[in-house]
Amino acid sequence: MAVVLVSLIILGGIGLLCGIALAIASRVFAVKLDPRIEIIEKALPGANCGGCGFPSCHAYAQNMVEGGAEPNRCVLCDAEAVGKISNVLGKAAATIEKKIAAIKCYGGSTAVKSFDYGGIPSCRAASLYSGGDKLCSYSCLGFGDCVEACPFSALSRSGREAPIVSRDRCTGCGNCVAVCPKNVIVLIPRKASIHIACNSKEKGKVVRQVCEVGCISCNRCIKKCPESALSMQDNRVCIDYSKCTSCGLCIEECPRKIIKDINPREEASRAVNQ
Amino acid sequence: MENLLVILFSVILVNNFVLARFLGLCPFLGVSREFKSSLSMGAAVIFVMTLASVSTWFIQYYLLIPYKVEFLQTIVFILVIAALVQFVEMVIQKVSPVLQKALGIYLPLITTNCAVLGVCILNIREDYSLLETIVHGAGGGIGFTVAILIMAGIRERLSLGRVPKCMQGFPISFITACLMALSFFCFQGFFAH
Repeated sequence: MAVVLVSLIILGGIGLLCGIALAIASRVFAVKLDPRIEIIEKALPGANCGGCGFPSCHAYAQNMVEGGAEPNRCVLCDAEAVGKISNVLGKAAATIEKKIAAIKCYGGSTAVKSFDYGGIPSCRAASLYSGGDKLCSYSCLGFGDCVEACPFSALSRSGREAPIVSRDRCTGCGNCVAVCPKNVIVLIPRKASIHIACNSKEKGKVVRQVCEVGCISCNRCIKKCPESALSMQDNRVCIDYSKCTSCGLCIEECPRKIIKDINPREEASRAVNQ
Repeated sequence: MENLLVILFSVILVNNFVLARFLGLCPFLGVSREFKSSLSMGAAVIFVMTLASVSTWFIQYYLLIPYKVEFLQTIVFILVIAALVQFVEMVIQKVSPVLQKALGIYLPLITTNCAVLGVCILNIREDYSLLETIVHGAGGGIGFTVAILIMAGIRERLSLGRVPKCMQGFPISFITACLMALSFFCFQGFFAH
């Protein structure tokens, strides 16, 4: 009987003591968290995609309150959410520009290969072997590291063709841009419809030898563009989206068909305007 | 001194908690996907094991044995360890946000782990003195860290490799752990005369 009593006292006593000690400790060592962090975190999407440059939505919310990060860095937030966050922070509502990922290479399986690669099926691994198995050193390797990196399943691929970006799913978080060893993926404004799908910095003659769908620096699109939005840099056509009016003249002009319309809805509205 | 060194190295290599005693396999497989997080996990385990060893040693010799209630060992140890880790976590949160970030989420994860309870019960079973208990506790944690770091290194490599579909994920991890345990088996008899 005594044993039962002693064990009851000891176990109960320890439990009671620990309970009291923890209750006191939670008062004494309470850390005051800024309530704004929680409100902002609720307004954020909670996808933890890292598109804002912080590892998680919580870290971003914390930095907005304590570190002064801008509220428009989230790629998923719409204008309403950004406005709400700006309200909580007491800042003027920031503007947001939605972006989308675009792949600057359609070489895929047609690009000429330099050797047969049989190693780990990963772009990053393949690019370690003298820059990959394609003769064009700027091309998409097509093993889909970006497809795996995308937290929103916005990229899809078949075989070793260049991945296809889903306009509905892509949020422009930039995870695919960071993971691509060839820097083939760029973030362009979501509203843009003209996309130049060649990444090569080689001269026209070299491109002709290694790829059927590469830019040969013929300059025809640049001459055709009425807004002078296109320019040639490092044998590569560059587009200034602030000048581009999506007229589509360059698409028709390009002899290699590498200038693409990636925003078909814009095309529809253009046809109506004409 | 020699005695302490033997305890330290035998608990790291010969009687490694994960690879020889098969305790604490849950965090060993769960948190070993990335090198960085397994390092944090290892640090948390070293911390909790040392703390738990010391506190339960005092409980055993100043409470349970004098009142002849040694049969309460398991439940009392769990209670004390859980409360203590909670308490320490609160203190860390207040005192050092940097340490909180590094150990933070791993402390409560490891609290009720069998490896932690195992090290405490083994301390008592082996009749260790307080100093030996501390060394055994810290060594157990270091042994766990060594094992989980090796595992994380291998798994990071494996994640790039071509693993057959039926072996992907946990199956290949179990086989990796098994081969690691086999290789650690070579240390058996290392300190035997």
